Amino acid sequence: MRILELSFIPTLDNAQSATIAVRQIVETLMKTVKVAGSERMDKFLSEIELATGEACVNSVKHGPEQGMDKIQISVVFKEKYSNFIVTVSDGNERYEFSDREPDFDALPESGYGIYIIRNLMDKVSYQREKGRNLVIMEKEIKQGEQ
Amino acid sequence: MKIRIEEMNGIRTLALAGRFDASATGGFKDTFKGLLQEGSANYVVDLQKVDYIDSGGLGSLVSALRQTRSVDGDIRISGLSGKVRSVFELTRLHRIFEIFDDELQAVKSYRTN
Repeated sequence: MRILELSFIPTLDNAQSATIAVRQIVETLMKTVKVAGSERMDKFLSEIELATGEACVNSVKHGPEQGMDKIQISVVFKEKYSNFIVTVSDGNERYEFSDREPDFDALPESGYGIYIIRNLMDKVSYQREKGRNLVIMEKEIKQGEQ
Repeated sequence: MKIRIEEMNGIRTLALAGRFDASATGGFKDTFKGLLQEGSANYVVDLQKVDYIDSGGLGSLVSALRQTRSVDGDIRISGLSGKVRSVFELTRLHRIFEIFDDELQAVKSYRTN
C-alpha cells in the first residue's frame, strides 16, 4: 500500500493545481505497477481528476474567506486490489453531502458537483472526524483498464 | 482559461481554451455580461480547446443560457472532446444545449432557423 499526501491554502487557483497534481500522482503510482496506458486509462485518470477537483472546490467554497485551515488530500493506492482511495478533508463547519440528484428539468446553475463525484467514483462517503469534513472517494482499476 | 471572441455571420462566437473550472468562471461570466450589454442575443461557445470542465464551468454556461433565453436568444455549443462530452452527458446538459461538431456548423445553424 502506498500513501501520498498534499495540502494547500484554500483558494480556487490552488484547488486547480492540487487537482492536476493528484492526477499526476495517480498516473505515477499506476506506472510503478506496470499498468499499461490506454484510452481507458486516460478515462480512469480523468474521472479521478474531476471527482477530486469537485471535492477540492467544494471545500474552498464552504470555507470562510480568510483564516481557514489548509485543505488536505491523501491518495492511497492498494496495489493488491488495484484500488485508489482519495480523501479530501477540510476544517470547515459540517455541511450537507447530499445524495440527491439535481433537479435537471429546473436547469440549475449549481449543485452538480457532488452528483458528479458520486457518479464517477465506485464508492463515496462523507465523514465528520476531529472537527474536519472528510470526503472519501474510492475507485478500482477494472480488469479491462489494465 | 483563454477566451477568444469573434463574430461570424452576425453571431458572436466565444472560443475557450484551457481548463474551464471554478477558477475560470469569474472571467467567463464577466466577458459574457459585457457581450450581453452590447445587445447580442445569439452565441456559439466553442469548447474544442477545453480539456477539462467541472461543475463550475457547466454552471456558468447554464447561467449564460438562462440569460440569453430571457432575451429570446440562444447559446449553441461546438467542438466537444470525448472527455468534455461525457461530463455534458453525465449532467444531462447535452439535452439542453444544441451541440455541433464545429464552430462553423453551429454558426450556420442559426441561419437555418
